[in-house]
Parts: sequence; C-alpha cells; structure tokens
Amino acid sequence: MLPFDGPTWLAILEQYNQAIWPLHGVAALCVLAAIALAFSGARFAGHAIGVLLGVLWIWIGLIFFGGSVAPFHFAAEELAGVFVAQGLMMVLALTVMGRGGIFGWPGGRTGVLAVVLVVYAVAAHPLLGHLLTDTPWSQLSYVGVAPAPTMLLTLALLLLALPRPPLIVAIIPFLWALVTGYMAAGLGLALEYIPATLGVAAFAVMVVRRFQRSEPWLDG
Amino acid sequence: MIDRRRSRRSFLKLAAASAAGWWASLSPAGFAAEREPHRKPIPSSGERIPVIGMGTWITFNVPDAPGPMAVRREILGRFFARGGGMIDSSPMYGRAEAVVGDCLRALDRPEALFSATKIWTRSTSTGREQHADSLDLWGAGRLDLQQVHNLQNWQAHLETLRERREAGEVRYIGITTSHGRRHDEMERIMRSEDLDFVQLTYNILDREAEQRLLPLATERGIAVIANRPFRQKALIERFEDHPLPDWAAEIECENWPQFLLKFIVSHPDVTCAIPATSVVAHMGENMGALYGPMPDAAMRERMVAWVGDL
Ligand SMILES: NC(=O)c1ccc[n+]([C@@H]2O[C@H](COP(=O)([O-])OP(=O)(O)OC[C@H]3O[C@@H](n4cnc5c(N)ncnc54)[C@H](OP(=O)(O)O)[C@@H]3O)[C@@H](O)[C@H]2O)c1
Repeated sequence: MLPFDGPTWLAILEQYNQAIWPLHGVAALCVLAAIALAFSGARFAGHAIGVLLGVLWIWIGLIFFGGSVAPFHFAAEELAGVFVAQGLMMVLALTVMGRGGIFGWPGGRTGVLAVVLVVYAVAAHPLLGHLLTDTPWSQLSYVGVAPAPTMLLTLALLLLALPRPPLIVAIIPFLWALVTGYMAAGLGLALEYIPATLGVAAFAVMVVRRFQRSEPWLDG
Repeated sequence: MIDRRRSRRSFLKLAAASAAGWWASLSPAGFAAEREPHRKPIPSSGERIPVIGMGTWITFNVPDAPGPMAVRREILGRFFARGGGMIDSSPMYGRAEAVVGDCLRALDRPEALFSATKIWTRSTSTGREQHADSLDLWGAGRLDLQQVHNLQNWQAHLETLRERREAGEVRYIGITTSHGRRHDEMERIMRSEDLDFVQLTYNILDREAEQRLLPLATERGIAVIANRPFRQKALIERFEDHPLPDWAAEIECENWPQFLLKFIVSHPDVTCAIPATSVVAHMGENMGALYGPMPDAAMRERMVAWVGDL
C-alpha cells in the first residue's frame, strides 16, 4: 500500500539528493571499490565487499527511509529496519563469517548477467531515467544511496561469489526487487520495472546455482 | 355553472402560483434557495453537514514545496467556495494532516470546516499522542470528529476519545473500516457502543453495507461517512469511456464522478461521502454533486442496473 503518488516519490528523492549531496561521490567510490574487488578475485575481497555494501544498506535504511521517507510513509521505520538488517547481515555473513567464499569472474551467462546488472545499476538506471522520462537529475535514484540500484548492485556482486553465493544475503534484495515492481505499477513509473525484473532474474539464477550441481545452461 | 366558475378560479390560482414560482426561481433569492448545498443531519446532535466532504489519503501527502502546496490550497479553496465542510484525514496519511493545517491557516480557517481525523495505532499511549499531534497539526483547539482507524485497539481508544470529548477537545467520536473488511466486528461495536459516526466503504459497486450496517446506523442514530466512493479511481477509469445515460440529466449529473457521488449520498442512511482528489478541476466536478435533484429509490435502482450493464 503506497501512501503517495509518483510525483511525491520523485519529490522525496529530490529532497534527499539535495540533502546528502555531495555524498553521492563517496558512495560511488565505495561502489567502484566493491566492483573492482569482486572482479579482482583478491582473497580478502569478500570481507571488504561485506563492509562496503553493508555500510551502504545501513546508510539507506537510516538516512533515506528513517529520515527522508519517514514523514511520508507510515511504514518507514520498518523499512529502515529491514535495510539496516540487510546491512548487518552483509557484514556478518561476508566479513565476519567469510561466507562469501572467494569472488571472481564466474564466466558464462552468469558472468554476463552480473556485468549487465552492474552496468545498469551504476550508469544505465539514472541515464535512462533522464533520457527516456525527462526526469531531472535531482529526482533520480543513484547507486549506493538509493534502494533500487543498490539492490541490483548487491545481487550482481553476489552472482560473482564462488563457488556459489550465500543465499541468505540475497533474500532481502530479492524482496526489494518485488517491491520495486509493485512501486513501478502503483506510482506509474514504468522504468522501475527494469531493475525489478533484473533483480528477480538475478535471484532466480542464484537459486538455480545453489541447488543444481551443474548448470550448463548458465555456464553455456 | 358553479363548477365551471370554480375550475376557472382554480386554474387562475394555479397559473398565478406557477408564475410566482417561476418569478421566484428567477430572482437571486430563489436561485440561492434552489442552489443550497444538500445537507444531512448528524443524528446524535441534529447538526446538518454538507453531503460531500473530502478525503486526504495520498492526495494531500505532499512535500512542503511551493508547487504542490499551492495546488492543495487551491483545492481546499474550491472545496469551501462550493459549499464543502468535512475534511477527513489520519496520522497514517503521512504529511496530509500537516498539509491540511497549513492550507487552512492560509485560507483563514473557513468557518464551514468540519475536521475529521483518526487515531491509527495499536498502542493506547501512542493513540493519546496522535490525538494531541492532530490538534496541533490542524491548528485547532478542538476537532469536530475523532475516529478509531480500522478498529485498531478500539476499546482503549474509544475510552480516550470519550475522555477527550468530555474535555471539550472533540465534538463527535466514531470508528472506521474500509474495503468491506471487519463488518461483523463493526456491527458488534455499533450495537454495543455509543457512537456518533461510523465510516465505511460504500459505492455503486461495493454495496455490502446496505445489508446490515447502513440500516443499523439509522436504527442506532449513527451518522455514516462513505469512504472510497470511486474505489480509489478504479470506478471512474472503468466507466469514463462510456457515455452517461440520458436520464442522468434529470438529476443534474454532468459527469461520472457526480453520478457516482449522487448515488452514494442519496442513500437515506448515508450522511456524506468523502472523495479525495489532487486536481482542482476534479474538486469542482465532485462538488457539483452537492447541488440539484437527488435520485429517488427507483432512480437508484436504475443507476445500479446501468453500471451493471457496462
Ligand atoms: N479505513 C479508513 O478509515 C479509510 C480507508 C480508505 C479511505 N478513507 C478515506 O476516504 C477517502 C476517500 O477514499 P480514497 O481516497 O481511497 O478513494 P476515492 O476517493 O474513491 O478515489 C480517489 C481517487 O479518485 C480520483 N478522483 C477524484 N475525483 C475525481 C474526478 N472528478 N475525476 C477523476 N478522478 C477523480 C483521484 O485522482 P485525482 O487526484 O487525479 O483527482 C484519486 O486518485 C480517503 O482519502 C480517506 O480520507 C478512509
């Protein structure tokens, strides 16, 4: 149940973007570092990615939902709690317990999907929003500071976890992909269907990888 | 002979009466009398309120920015200029109460205002806080109507509301539900508690309340507010591509929103409907339903049959 319409959602994003500017730059640095680490295959990559993504999820929970969304949404506190919980789980699972295993290029279609997701989350999401829907830059969602692209980036990097990603930290991002689809319909923001669909697809691939020993169609 | 004289006299009387009526209807006073907004009494007090009010869910949950605030001021301005009274809100509706309060201050608090809000929480103490916040946000020392939203923790909240009524902070108290949910529980509360108002979903397609709740409201002397009159726009979207029936002109309906609203408020047990809008022109359309002839029982049946065939 969404208590606001599309223009109000965009106005909330605008107020938030203006309030946190220029922290988008810091978030972008965290994101780029996490991407580089994931593809590098470095031994400590999983531990570092856990902290980097964990901090971003906690930030979005506390500052975006707990601060900017709170006056407009009766469930903002609960949403903030969910994002903070995801952040803590990332830190716990990947950094403290080392459950991410090693990160690296998985090859095949999984690798291609991960790259598509990363490119979409980092650049294509705001670019398409601006070019196709004429949305001002100030009202767009940016990776690392807004929920939808951060959800997508998280799922993308988890696809790079070898031999297979820890599913437990993919559940909230998957649920948020569903919420993103619901918001696309309820707020009349058609472009939001893209991250929603990509997020669901990424989770489906993870589930298949988790429960199948060999997945030739994914590695193809 | 006598008969013919008598009939001539009565014809002359009738003609004079019609001419006088015609003249009265042309004179500004007659016109004003004819264009009086429809009002219905609150059974517990006899106070009469306009049958079209307004809701604020989604439509008034906007940021404190010049553009959206100016539109909301204009919507409220149009609402009061066209004879509106009741504004319904809730702490659940985000910034809606704050926005309404700001707009009312900008409009110098129109006298016709009938403020209606809710307590929306399971916690009894938070309920008390919400009531105090609402008094603040609406900028009034007193609210006209305070309701228990969706029957949440209604026993405790009704206690609070009775206390606040005693203290002069609320004039009327009530309970709400929507989407046809929890009608059985609402019925039990209506039978056992002393309420001024109930709020429930009633529109041309959602008519379940006609079975028990509406007659019970009249029996118990409770005013009824109809929420979701357009099923949150779904009804308008469903019907807008179809023309109105010719006979809609008999009840002065120029558009579907007026047709749908007149259906609701012409039910003898319904006190008012509270459509929500974020568009000034839509407010103008909706307030049109406050004037002109209302459908009678036969016409109401015809209305139901007509939309059933679409
Ligand atoms: N449990 C509860 O207590 C409860 C539950 C539900 C609702 N309510 C109350 O009841 C109120 C009304 O219900 P609602 O807001 O859910 O739904 P509603 O009034 O049935 O429909 C609102 C929608 O109708 C559209 N609309 C209004 N007038 C129009 C017109 N003339 N032409 C075209 N579209 C028009 C509005 O869009 P535009 O903005 O484009 O005009 C808005 O999207 C609420 O605002 C709330 O105050 C209470």
